[in-house]
Amino acid sequence: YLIPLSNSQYPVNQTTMHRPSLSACQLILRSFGRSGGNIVASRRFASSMNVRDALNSAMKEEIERDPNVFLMGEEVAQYDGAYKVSKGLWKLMGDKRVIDTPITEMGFTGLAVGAAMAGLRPICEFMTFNFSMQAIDHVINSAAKTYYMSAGDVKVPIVFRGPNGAAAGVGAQHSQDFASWYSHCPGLKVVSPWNSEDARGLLKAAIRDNDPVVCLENEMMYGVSFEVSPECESKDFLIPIGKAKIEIPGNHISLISYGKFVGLCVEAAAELAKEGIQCEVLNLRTLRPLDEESIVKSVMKTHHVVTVESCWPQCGMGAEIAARIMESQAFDYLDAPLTRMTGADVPMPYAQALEAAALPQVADIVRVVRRTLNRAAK
Amino acid sequence: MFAVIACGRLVQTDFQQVDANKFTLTIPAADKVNHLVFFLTGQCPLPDGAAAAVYLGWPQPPPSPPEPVWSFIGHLTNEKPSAIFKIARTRPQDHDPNHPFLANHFATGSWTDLTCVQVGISIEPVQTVAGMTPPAGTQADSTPTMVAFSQRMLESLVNYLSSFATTPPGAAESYVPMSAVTSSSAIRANLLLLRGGGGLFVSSRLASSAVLSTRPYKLHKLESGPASEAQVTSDEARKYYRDMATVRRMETAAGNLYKEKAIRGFCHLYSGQEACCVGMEAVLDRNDPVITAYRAHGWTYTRGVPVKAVLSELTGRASGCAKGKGGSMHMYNHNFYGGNGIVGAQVPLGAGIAFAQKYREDKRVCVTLYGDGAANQGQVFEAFNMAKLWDLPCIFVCENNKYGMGTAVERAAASTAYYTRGDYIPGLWVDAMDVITVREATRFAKDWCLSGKGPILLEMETYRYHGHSMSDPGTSYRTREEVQSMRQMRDPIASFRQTLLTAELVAEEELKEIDQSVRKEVDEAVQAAKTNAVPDPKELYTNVYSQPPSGQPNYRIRGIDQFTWSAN
Repeated sequence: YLIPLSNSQYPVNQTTMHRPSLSACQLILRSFGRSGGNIVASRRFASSMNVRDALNSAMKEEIERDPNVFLMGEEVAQYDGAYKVSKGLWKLMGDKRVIDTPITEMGFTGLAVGAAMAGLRPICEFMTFNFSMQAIDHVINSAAKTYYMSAGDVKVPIVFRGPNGAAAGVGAQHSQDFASWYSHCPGLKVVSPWNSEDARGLLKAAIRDNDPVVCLENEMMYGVSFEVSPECESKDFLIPIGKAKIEIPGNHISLISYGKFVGLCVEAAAELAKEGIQCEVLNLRTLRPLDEESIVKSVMKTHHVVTVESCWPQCGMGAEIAARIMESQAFDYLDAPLTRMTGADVPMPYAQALEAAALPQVADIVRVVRRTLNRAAK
Repeated sequence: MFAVIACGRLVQTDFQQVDANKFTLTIPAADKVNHLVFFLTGQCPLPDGAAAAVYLGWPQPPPSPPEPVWSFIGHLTNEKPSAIFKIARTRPQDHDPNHPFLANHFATGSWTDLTCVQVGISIEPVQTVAGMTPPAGTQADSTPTMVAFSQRMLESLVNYLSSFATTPPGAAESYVPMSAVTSSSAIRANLLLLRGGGGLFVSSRLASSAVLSTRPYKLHKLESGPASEAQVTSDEARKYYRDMATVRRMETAAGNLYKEKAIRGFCHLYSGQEACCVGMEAVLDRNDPVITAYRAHGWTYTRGVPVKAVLSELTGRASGCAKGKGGSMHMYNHNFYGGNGIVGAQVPLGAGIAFAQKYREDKRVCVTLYGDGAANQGQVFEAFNMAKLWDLPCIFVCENNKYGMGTAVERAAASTAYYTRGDYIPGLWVDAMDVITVREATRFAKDWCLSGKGPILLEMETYRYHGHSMSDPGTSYRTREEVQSMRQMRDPIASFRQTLLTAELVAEEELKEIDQSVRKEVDEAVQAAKTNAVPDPKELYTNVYSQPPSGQPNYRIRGIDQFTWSAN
């Protein structure tokens, strides 16, 4: 399944469909999503869980645990969730804890923030983060800034969650990645889970956090299954906010990413491993505050860095990471400038090939890694 | 040359010269005025041998022609340059209170309503004037003050004590218990008379409570409205007066501090709207949350933040209620969620607070205020929808002060009947220049919400004397005459003061004392606001998060460059 590359030029991506190779010594589950399954480490795992179930179980447990926690959003209750993330919750918990809202983002987001100010712990779902733009005044001005403006008088323990970034063929207005917009603002904590463990641990930590947290998921990951450890299944499984995770350690180059694109980095790493290139895949997990320490440490080790995201290039996450590296001691350890791989600087097109060209693909990551390491294209 | 003062109002000197020796002036809303003080301003004395004869002209109600009927009430001379006249009994008797002219609340210079009186001064030879007799009842009481006063005090004491008289079983006549005679309230009531004694404004008896009428309401989708009259005790009256006077003086002080550049940025003053916050707070308690927009200083005070903390916040001191980090539009307190800068944003927030009340089954209402400008915001209607859908105990309050910044309501809203714009939410229009009217409307609204009937909408029609903010003079989109006439005719504090004196609920002296004590409090607060310490530079970085991120317990906040960080 290696895509043939000519010697003299880098081809345009041929396809977005990947099927991971089934290797006898790896436990990989076939997935239905486009980003492929993961390549797991060699630990033994209790069970497998897809990201949807991870989010669902996290919410269920937190709602059961704390009477102040409730979920509100469009179609979250009787429809079981637009993407079935809240499936079964309304039937179990009832009208008080799982609430269908009218299609009025500004109104229900403001209402949720007000409820949080008054001491409840809402989970406010955006059907996609594209619709959060209608409500973004409440996320920033009503939620993020209030603790500061009130000099510590008014807390806002709210979670805003939902799918972020591109799906498949949903067009320009439904494909934006808001990572850089939300992680720009002080007062917010911003997390972006990749796999099921991330989803469970980060969402639970977000719900228990007393500050407003934005949880950026990805629709394409909902159906993807991962092996999870027994710890992950514990009701108190929390992932610390502000800590990145090294998914695959390596010595030659750091691939830094979040969300769905961690999966692409993992796949690219597998491919590059065959030619002896050891990529370190760093899953940021939290976008604000960034785990600068882990970024710097990784770059000091590998001396090369590529960031991968679906935000547009200008003022994106890669731009921030580049600046941080410049400002840190890692600057002196670089053997090549950072490359940031981003969404193309265009609104998302519909046609499949165009859409594929608008986002980094595994082949692109492989190509860029080789280029950064001054390896010839194969 | 001449000036006239009606109790509780500004001096009027706008006499028009209508003839060689005749001057006239109009006094609006004179149906509430009992006494008028006339005096020579000293700019130029009367000619030798001349006196100024003072006439009052009350308009006749229809079908009589609109010419006033003049009556002579007294005179001024150079030797007697000032005089006080009691005018209450000079009014024509057949005054029709339901006359349509009287419904003209917001007259902007149209003096055709029957509550105005014309004053005429005619300069005539002293001999002519000396021969004229004023009608009975216009001369200020000239009997020796002490005698008259003692007489009244004794009458009052007898009245008071006889109310305690009982007839024990088997007794032939009534007896008054000694406890009534020696109780502190008996003595206090009469001591108040002593302190307030002397001069015209001696009351024959101070009531401990009175029944005051409320101004008419307008209803939307309601079968009935709030009470048309209300019992007000003298304690309550004093409190409302004091609170309104404090807000007024505090806002004036804030305006002055702004002009001195001690306050920066935004400063939206509440002067004129005091009856709204004070009247509502009279019914709410500190467990009922309130959220409002940026014209919030009045509410911040009534919600329990001392004047010193409000003014210090405005001047950016550490003693400010938000440590100087919030400023004018971001003041908070227990169950007071600000202070919000984004127009309309506080409305869904308020619905959310009401949601939390309902969720926790607290028997509380949330009061969510917004202005006539915000009333057109989409999110307001989104909040209405959810509040009605889910029966949230939310009192939505539109403080309609007739102008959204520089835009009059008619230019911004297709429908200015804000109390009806909740559509399926019942609504009430309230004349919010009267504190008791506001109070009873709030009582009605709170009962409504707490009985599970869902949200309700109150439109408080009010007025702001200042511009939208300190950078707006407030005269480019409305006339000075309009503002002046509102101050003279409709001021909530002056009219409440008049009501209290007329109802003999509080003595003039006490009101003066309250004014003085309020002035002292605000002056001290101004001093503190000017001199207290500014926030510690470390405060730049505090309160961003309530707890550091769980994965970065030593999280530091970046300053203006990579070399500048919060401590820690």
